[in-house]
Amino acid sequence: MALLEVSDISVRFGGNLALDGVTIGAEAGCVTGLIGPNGAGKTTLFNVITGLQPPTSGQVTLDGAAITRLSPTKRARRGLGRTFQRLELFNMLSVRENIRVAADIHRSYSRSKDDPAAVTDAIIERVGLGAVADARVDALPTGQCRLVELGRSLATRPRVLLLDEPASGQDDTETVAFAALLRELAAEGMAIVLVEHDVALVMDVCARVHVLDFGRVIASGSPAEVQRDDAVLAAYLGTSS
Amino acid sequence: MTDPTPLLELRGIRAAYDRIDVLFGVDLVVEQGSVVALLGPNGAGKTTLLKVACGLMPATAGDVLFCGKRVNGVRPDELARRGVAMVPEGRGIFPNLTVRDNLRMMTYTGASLSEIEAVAFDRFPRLKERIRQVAGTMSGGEQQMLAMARGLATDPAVLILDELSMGLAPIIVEELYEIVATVARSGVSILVVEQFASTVLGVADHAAIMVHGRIVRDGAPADLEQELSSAYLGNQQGDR
Amino acid sequence: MDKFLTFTIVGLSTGAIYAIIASGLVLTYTTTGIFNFAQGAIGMVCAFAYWQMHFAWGWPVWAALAVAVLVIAPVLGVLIDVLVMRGLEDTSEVTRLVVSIGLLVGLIGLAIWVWKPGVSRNFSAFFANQGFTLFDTRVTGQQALTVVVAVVVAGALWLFLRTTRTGVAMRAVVDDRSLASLNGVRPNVVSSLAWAMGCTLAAIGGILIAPNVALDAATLSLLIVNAYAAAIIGRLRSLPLTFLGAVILGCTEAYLAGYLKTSPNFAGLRLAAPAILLFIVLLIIPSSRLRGRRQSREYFPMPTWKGTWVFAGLSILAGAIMATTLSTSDATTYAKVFSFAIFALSLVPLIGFAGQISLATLTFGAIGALIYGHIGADGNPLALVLAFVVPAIVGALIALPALRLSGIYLALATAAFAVALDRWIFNLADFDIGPIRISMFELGSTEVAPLDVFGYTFDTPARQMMLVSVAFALISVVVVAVRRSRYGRRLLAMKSSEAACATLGLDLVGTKLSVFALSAGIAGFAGALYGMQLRSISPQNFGFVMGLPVLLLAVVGGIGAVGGALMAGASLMGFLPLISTLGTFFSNLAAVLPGLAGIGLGRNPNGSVHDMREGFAPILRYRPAIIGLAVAVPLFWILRLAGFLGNGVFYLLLALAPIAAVVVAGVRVGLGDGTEVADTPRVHDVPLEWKGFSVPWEPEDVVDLDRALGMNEVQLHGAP
Repeated sequence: MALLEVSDISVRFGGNLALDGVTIGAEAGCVTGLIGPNGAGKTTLFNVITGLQPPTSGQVTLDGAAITRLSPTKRARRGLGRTFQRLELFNMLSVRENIRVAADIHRSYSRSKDDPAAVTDAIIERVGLGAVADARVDALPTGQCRLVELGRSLATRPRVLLLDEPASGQDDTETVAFAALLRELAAEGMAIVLVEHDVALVMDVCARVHVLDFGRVIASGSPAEVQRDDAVLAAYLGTSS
Repeated sequence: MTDPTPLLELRGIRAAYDRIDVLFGVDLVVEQGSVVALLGPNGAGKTTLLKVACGLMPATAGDVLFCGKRVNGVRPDELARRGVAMVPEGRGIFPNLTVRDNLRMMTYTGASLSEIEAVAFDRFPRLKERIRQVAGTMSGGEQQMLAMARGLATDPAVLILDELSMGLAPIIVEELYEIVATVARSGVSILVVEQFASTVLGVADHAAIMVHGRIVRDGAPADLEQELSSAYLGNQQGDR
Repeated sequence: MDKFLTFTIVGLSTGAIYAIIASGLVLTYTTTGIFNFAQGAIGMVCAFAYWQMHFAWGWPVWAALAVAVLVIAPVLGVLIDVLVMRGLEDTSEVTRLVVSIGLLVGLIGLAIWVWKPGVSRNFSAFFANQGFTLFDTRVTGQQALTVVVAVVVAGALWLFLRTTRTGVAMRAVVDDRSLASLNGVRPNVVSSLAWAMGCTLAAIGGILIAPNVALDAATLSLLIVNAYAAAIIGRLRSLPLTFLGAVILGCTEAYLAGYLKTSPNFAGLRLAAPAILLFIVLLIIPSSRLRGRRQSREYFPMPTWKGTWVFAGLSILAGAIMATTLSTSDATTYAKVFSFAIFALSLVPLIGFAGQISLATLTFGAIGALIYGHIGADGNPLALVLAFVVPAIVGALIALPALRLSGIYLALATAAFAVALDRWIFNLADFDIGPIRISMFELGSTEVAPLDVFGYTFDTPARQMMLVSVAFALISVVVVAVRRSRYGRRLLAMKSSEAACATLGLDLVGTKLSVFALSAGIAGFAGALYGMQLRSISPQNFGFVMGLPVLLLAVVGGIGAVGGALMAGASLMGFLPLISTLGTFFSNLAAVLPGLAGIGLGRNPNGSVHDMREGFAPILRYRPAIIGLAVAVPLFWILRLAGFLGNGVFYLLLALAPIAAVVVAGVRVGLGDGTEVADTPRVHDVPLEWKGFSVPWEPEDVVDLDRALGMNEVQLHGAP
């Protein structure tokens, strides 16, 4: 059984089915990709998993326990971390403080005895924000803001990490470094779900890829399988090709 | 008959959100009476380009020319009055208004409601049955028809369609594109952005592929089909 | 049955008026996103204008009505939109709220200026001697008129919004503003129209309700709380539900008036009923989704310890100077500077750090004052602790159900709480809850004893001045400590993005509850000190309307910093009373000024303390100026104490000394800058920002610039 299991999730907004019976899983120790055209429902799925959007039907389980009815806070405390496509940084705080807040929150509910200041420094080092650690976040370019969100999430020691377009706004060298970081994190045992438009990155780091279209999973498999899948080609390229 | 100046021309357009540049000098021409398809993967900057074209967003550099006149900085409502109609991404309708009220919004052009309704129902008979329905409760295809009906009610010179097919079943997409073809034959120029490439390529006179804020290829639709797969899925040779 | 029918008619008539006012509120809120706290005040001003034209100048009814409703109200609306509200894009909800409260306070001040209070003004009902009988029950002409007008308004609004293009455009703007502008709608025109219509509806409501109540600026303006409840039942969106809510509200009020025993304990309940109903409605509406990031122009820098200690020291110094130099009566007046500064300080963690809103500051102050007054009757300092703890607990209890709400809804819930206590609970006689006897203001006023610490009694105004200034300095330090702590970072994080905080595992409810309790506790403490200064307290000292300027000036001063709080106290209880002593014109001006300051907030959402600190910054960079001040101020003080100087000259010198220091320091520091610029920079080590000015710009410099700004090259260079 996968660490994170999403089973048969549907979300209805008015007359539209944003998600229609989505079932995916994320295994510990690997990066799972989630791709699909605009409006396919990727961010909605993340919102459902983290509890920001109640599903119309379906179940989310983390490590075998159902979390569908839990608040976002409780889910986070069980080890669910995420970043946001539309950045949700703490604008009035510096890079260091953004990450420190998360480390402090984690310390307050976990049994961890780690010094939050040390945790913060280690994470800044790890995601490569040392040069701008004391800058206010709203003075940073988007690529670095995405790293702050990642670092903030890492400070809560998540078991499952949901990344919503973490590479958009990063340049090529940054993306390469980022891919290496993702592999490292996965190797440490984290389950990572990656929503990303940079298909090359997804194909590079993911062990499995799910393709979402019209709120439905139209294909799942290894990157190579997915790239050859007719349904995927149709979804991306048109109906009759 | 043919006018040498293009109807809509974008020259060297650059644009940025916050501090992030998304367009890096884009050139695009829509000739009088033609259908131009703009294709490309998510995040390529297609929608941004359309927003610049219809005045919803300022360009940081470059010119927007409509009928040969520079229209940078003209407000969107003013451009709409001059004949640039935009059907934005994700259904260009007011979901809490009825179909009739949606159409009534277009009376600012001077046409009466009954004239607008006559034109709209002629093209989209299905809307007539739904006249009192709240637009947001109609099916996706019907909403898109309403959006196009509203765009066309102004009798525009150019109709800009953003992701016409988004979230719609293939059969409905084909139906919509048949309508697009009819509209084009009636003399309206059309600029359409799509991810669903094949259907639109069947209708377009000219197509361009945009990746990472730049037009990487443009030409006749038939020539472009080959390149799309690599631009979208990156599974062939290098795509930049 | 007759009685029931009679009160139903009364209720329908009142409800009809609420409906008219509330529909205007909904109209402006939906189209412009601004909740107009001044809706009632606009109706009030128009009612006064109508009174002036018809009753004072003898104009015929139709002419006076036409001018008041069709000219004054819409023009006022357009002016408000163009001059005040347009500047509020990208500001926080607090700023928007404060601006409309500023409008409310300003309009009340203006009305009092033009129409002296205390004068009896006859405002007879329309169709005063007419009426008819319905099922044996008398219906007055006025009652029939209000219902007819409400029906006409409802019909006209329906026709306008459904069948005219402008009306449909208005709804379209609500649906999707940018799409509307693509369809030939000018959003600015629509918002001006919405304000004009909202004000017209307010005017109609104000003129209709004026005969039923006293023609009093504050009373009329606050009728809005009743209308708010109706608008909230319509969830600030639906006009039909708003009308329904208004009818429910009017009838509830009427039945309470008709059927409740006429004991004094219930008289207040009737007045407070709309507020209580508002509170209940707020509790049962579905909670809003977690909010994400807000764009806003506001920014409050982190306070330094050094600056904080200097600030605390200067506050105590100011207290000491005033305590030793002011006459007893002046000291009594100006000691309130510090107690109000503490009231304002209570809002700093709540609004400035956590982004939550409370309009009940003075109400918590009243609870603190009552606790201290009753329990600390012998001046026991322990009672001061309770004056902190009990309001904190009450604050948490009130906040617990209300915290699901955010922004404007939370503000309204606290306003409803404040009004309910103000109009009802505070006016109750002593009562028992189980073994505990609860005392309010004993149906009038309550004595508050001065603090007694080990036999030392703070019984003179001068001693109290010292006590309260020290208390302010200490609480300022505490608030700064909160800001700099883990907890303070957490509050700022929550203000930026609740959604992100939740997904990091932060307990949002607990965090909000604690900051609400902290704020209420500080306010209660301030209330106890204020009560001591007053010696005898009554509900009027802590009225809901009294509390609004505190919020206004705290935000205007700079809600993110303790300096803003002192400035709020100093303006409200120092500067304004001072200019009031200059004459009638100035005392009138003093009533309008807080409102004007609030209205102007959109221009400078960071608060004025921020600008002042920038202004005085040169002193810190020029040591002789600091030394000069450190010598001059004590010198003046000694001269004053020795009797060489009068108070007038002394305070003038105190005010001029820092200004002189700024001017001198500014000139000296400015010269220093000049010499630096005069040095021609060597070509090779020009600061980056001077490239292109002092040396020619080279294309390669782009790379350096990119690196310095941390931008990536690809973005700047464009296509290869």
